[in-house]
Amino acid sequence: MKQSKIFFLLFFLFIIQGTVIPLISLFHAWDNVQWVPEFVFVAILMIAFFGSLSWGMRYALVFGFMTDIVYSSVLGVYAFSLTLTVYLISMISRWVNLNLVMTLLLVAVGVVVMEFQVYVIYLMIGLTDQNLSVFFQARVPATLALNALFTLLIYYPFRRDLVKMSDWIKK
Amino acid sequence: MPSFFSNKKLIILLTSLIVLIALISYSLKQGTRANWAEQFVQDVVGGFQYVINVPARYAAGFFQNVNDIENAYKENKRLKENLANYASVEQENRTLSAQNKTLRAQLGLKNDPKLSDFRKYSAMMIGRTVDQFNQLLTIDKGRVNGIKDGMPVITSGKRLIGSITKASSFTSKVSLISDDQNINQISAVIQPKKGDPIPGMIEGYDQNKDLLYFRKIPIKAKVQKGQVVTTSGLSGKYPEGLVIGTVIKVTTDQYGLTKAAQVKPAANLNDLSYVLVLERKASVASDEGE
Repeated sequence: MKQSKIFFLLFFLFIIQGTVIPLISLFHAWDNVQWVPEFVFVAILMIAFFGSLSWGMRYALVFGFMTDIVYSSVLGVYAFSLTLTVYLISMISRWVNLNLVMTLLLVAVGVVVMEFQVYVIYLMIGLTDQNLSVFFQARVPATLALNALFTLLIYYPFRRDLVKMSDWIKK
Repeated sequence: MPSFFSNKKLIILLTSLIVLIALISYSLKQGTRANWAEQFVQDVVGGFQYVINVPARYAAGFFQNVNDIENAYKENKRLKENLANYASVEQENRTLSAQNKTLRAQLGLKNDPKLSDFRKYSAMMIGRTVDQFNQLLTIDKGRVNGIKDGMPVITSGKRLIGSITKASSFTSKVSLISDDQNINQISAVIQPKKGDPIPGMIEGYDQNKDLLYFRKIPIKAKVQKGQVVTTSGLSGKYPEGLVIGTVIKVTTDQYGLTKAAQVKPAANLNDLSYVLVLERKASVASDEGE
């Protein structure tokens, strides 16, 4: 039952990413800044950190594929990058003490790694011709800021609920 | 150093890489229609997008209104100046249409549809890709409403924004002209004030500068900054006279045989809400050749 709650929350974030965010005119105010909300990815990372890694990776696969189908024209890219990044970042998270600052840092690394993977794959198959300098100057800072803000918002409620839930699973 | 991947996991990684490459090559194959699984997911998600979109648009519209009021005075002033020309242009338009009609009747072309004729379906944008690599919209009309793959999509003022790539039953995906993958040669033309129309091809989009490439222009053509590029209606896909953009820079191509120009899209591709999907009435002999 709790599992379904998480699924609907992720699904809600998934819909918000594509419908509400593009309507906010603030995001089009500067032409050369690209804000990319990766809210689903951030939430899945949290699940992998504080809940269980295997569930995190399952969600990553499912929502990656949904992103591919709904928000892109090539299948598989997001599913692959999302799942791999969730695995890598949560492996790193085993070695550190997960407090707010550390979580923010790991999420930031995760977002950059994930974006970069997608960028490189898209560049290889010729779906984008963005320059590397544009990627790092126009895309990365704004995206990091937006997703860090989102992480701050969901950190405390998510951590509380997920830790409770993973205890409940272990019992 | 502890290893990230055990042997078993390495095998899983390699297998998923192979699956990834297979999936990519499947979806890059030209002319693939959305399969039933894709269509199902797209329609289900589209339904939720539609539900969330209505209140969101309402709220966003409020802030937009506040913004609009600020600009209203300036805009009003400018529009008033433009309005002075409107009456004469409309009169001229009417005379020309009447003349055109009689001439076509004389030629016996009365029942053939014109190159510029189209039927239109209005649709609302219910979703949009935010990752900027993919430039796709989801609209709330699908095959049930008569939308088919390949139909051109415009916004107000007959400004071209893209074409339908994947139509499923109740929603469809629009690939914008700023999408690198979609843009497969739009036959375009510049109508100068004097002289013959200048033909060319829109051949791609520069995501770094947000400009379209207008190439294959005859070397002797007098292309100038500020000229308006429209679709020519000569390809099978787009009707005649859709505004693509304005020329902002003219160069020659790398071999020096033709001219090339950079074109700024006429429509603001970041701020779209309601769009029109066009169905072309005139059929061209090579229907598939885009």
